[in-house]
Amino acid sequence: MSSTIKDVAAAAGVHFATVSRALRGDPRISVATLARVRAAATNLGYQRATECLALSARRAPRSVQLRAERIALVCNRSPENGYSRFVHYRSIERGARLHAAELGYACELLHVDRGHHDARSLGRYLAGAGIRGIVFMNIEVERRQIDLPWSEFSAVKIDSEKLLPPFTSLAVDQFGTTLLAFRRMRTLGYRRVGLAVSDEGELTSGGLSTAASLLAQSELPEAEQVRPFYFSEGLTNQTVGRLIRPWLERERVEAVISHRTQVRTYAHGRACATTCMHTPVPGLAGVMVDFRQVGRQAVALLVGQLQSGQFGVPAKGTRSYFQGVWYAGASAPLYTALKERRAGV
Amino acid sequence: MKAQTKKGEPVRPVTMREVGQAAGGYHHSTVSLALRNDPAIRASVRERIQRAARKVGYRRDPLLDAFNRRRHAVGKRESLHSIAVIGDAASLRELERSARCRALWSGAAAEAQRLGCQIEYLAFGAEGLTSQRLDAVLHARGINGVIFLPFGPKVAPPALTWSRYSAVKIECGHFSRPEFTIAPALLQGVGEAFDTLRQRGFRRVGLVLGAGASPLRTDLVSAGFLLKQQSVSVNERVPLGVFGGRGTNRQIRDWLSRHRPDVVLAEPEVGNAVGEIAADIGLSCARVSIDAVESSDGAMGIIVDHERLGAVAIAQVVALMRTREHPTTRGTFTTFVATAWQDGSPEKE
Repeated sequence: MSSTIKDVAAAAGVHFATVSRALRGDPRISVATLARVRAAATNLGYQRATECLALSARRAPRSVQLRAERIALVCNRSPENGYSRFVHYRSIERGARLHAAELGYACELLHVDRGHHDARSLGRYLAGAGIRGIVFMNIEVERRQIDLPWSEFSAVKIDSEKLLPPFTSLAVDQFGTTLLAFRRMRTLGYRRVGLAVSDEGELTSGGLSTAASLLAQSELPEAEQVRPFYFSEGLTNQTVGRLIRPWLERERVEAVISHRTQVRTYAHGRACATTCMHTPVPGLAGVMVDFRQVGRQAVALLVGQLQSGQFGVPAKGTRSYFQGVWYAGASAPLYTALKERRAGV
Repeated sequence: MKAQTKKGEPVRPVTMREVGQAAGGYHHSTVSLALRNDPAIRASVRERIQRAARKVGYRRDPLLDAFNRRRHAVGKRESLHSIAVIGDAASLRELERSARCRALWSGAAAEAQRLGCQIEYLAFGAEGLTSQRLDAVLHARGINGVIFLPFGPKVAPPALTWSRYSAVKIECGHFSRPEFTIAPALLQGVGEAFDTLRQRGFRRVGLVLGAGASPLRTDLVSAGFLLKQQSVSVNERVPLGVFGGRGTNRQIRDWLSRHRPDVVLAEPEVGNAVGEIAADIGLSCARVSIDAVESSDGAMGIIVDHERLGAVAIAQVVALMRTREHPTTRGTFTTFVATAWQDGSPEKE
C-alpha cells in the first residue's frame, strides 16, 4: 500500500498542509522542516499524486510566489544560431513541456552557445535555481561540449551517444526505421533496393542503417544484394546527385532509401523513400518520426529517475529507441505501376 | 474549456454551480454525482442535470476527472499500483522452473517493491486465460498496469481493451500491442562477441538460429552478425545458418560440413544439436551461447540480464501509469538493455 501525504506528515511531525507546501518548494517553510519532510517522504517512498499536483497548479496566484519544481532542457544551439529552424528541436521541446506540465514540473530551456551559457555558467545556474533534472536535447558534435558535476544531477539524453556520459538515452531507431523502409519497399515489389546514407551517421550509430540493409537483403543471393552508397554529410544534394549516378547504374538500383528528406533530388527517377521525416512531406514516402513523443518520453524517464532518487551517471544506462510509422507516398509507388509509367513515357 | 465571446475573448468556464442552477436549483455536489452517472442520484434527475449541462456548455475537466478517480479509488488503494505480469507458464511456480523466467520475475519484483507497487502473475495462452478472460480479470481487479513476459512466435497476440491499460512487453516482437518493448541489446551484444572471438584467434565465426525463434531476436542477432562480417575477408565469412522443420539435423550436418566454422554463436537449444553433430562429423567447432545462463562452469557466452529486463519493464510501466497513460502513440519505443560477455573457455565436445 503506498503512503499518503498524511503518513509523511505523521513521520515528520507536521501538519499535512506543511508537507504539501514543503514538497512544492514554498519559501515559507524553514530549511530544517523542509529537510525533515523530504527525509520522511523518501523513507516512506511517497510519491506526489499527479492528479492533485495538476489541479493545484491551477490555483489562482497569490501574493506568495510558489516555486514549481523545475527541470532543464539543454541543447547546444541557440535561437540566434538557428535553433528554431530545426523542426525536431521544436517538436522535442513541445512534447517535453507538455508532459512535464502533466507531471507537475515546469520546464526551462537553456542553451549552451555563444551569447548564452558555457559549461561552467550552466552548472552554476542550475545549482542556483535548484534544478536537478536535465534533459539533454541532441547535443551536436561540432558545437560546444558540456561538462557538469554529474553526481549532482539526474539526466536523460536525446541522441548525443558519444558526447555525454552514458545516461539513459533516447534516439530514433535507425536500425528499425531503415529495416521498416526496406521491408515496405520489398512489399511494394522492388528487389534491388539500395541504401544511400552518410559516413558520419554510420560512424556515430555504429553502422545501424547498414546492418538493416544487410539483414533486409540477407534472403537474396549475394549477387542480387545492393551494396550501400556512403557520402559525406556536408555535401549538397546536387553534389550527392552527381556522385551517386555511377552507383545507381552499377548496382542497377530500383529504389533508393536515404535519411535525407530531399532524396528525390538525387534518386534520378528511381522510387525512393526517407528513413526519417519529422513532418509529412507531400509526395514523399518514408518513415515519419514524431519527435514530440521522444520529448515526452525523455521527460517521463527523467521524472521517474528524479522520483526514485537516481542521480549521477548510471553504471548501466538503458537506450530507448523510437520507431516511426511508414507513410506511403508517390515517391514509392507499386513497382508494377512505376514500370508501366516508365514504359508509357 | 473556455467559452468564447463573439470577439474571441476568453470567458470564465461554466461551473457546476451554474449547471445546478440551470437544472432547477440543485447543489453542486449533486451535479458532480449526476455528471459521473453515480447511481445515488435518481435517473430522471441525472438526465435533467446532464441536459442542463449540455445546454449551458459545461465541459468536463480532465484533471478533475483524474482527481476524482483517485479519490474514489482510495478505498481500493491496493489496486492503485497493481501490476499484472503475464506469462505463458500455467502458474508462478511453473514459471520459476526456468532460470531465465525466475530472473525476470525477481528483477521485476524487486523494482516493484522499490517503487511501492504490487505485482501478480497471470497466465495467458495455451496454459492460461483467453484474451477475453484476461481482460475481464484485469478489469475486475482494477489492475491497469500490465507487463507481458516473452511469448514464443506461435502464441497469438492478446486482444485486450488496450485503452484501459498502461502496458509494456518484454520482447514479443510479433505482438503489435503494447507499443512499449523491452529487449536485450543483442545487435551490439553479438557484435561484441564476434569481435572478441576474432581477437581470440577464431577465424571462421558462424551464427546459428532456430527457425522457430522469436522474430525480434532473430532480426537483432542476424543484423549484428552480418554487420561484423563485413569487416572480415570474404573467404572467412560463414553464411547464416537457420535451421528448422523436418530434417533439421541433416541441414545442420550439411551446413557444418560445407562451411566448417571454428566457432558458432547459437541459442542454447540449437547449440546443443550443433555441438553433437560437429563431434559426429569430426569437426572441431567451439560453441558460444547467446543468452547463456550465468554459470560458474566457465563457459563463454553472451549474458542477457533478465533481472534488469524485468526491472526496466516495471519502471517503464509505472512511468506510463503515472499519467494514467494508455497511449496510442504514433510510433513505438523499444528500450534496449545492454548484454554482458561471460569470459571463459568456449564449449567444445
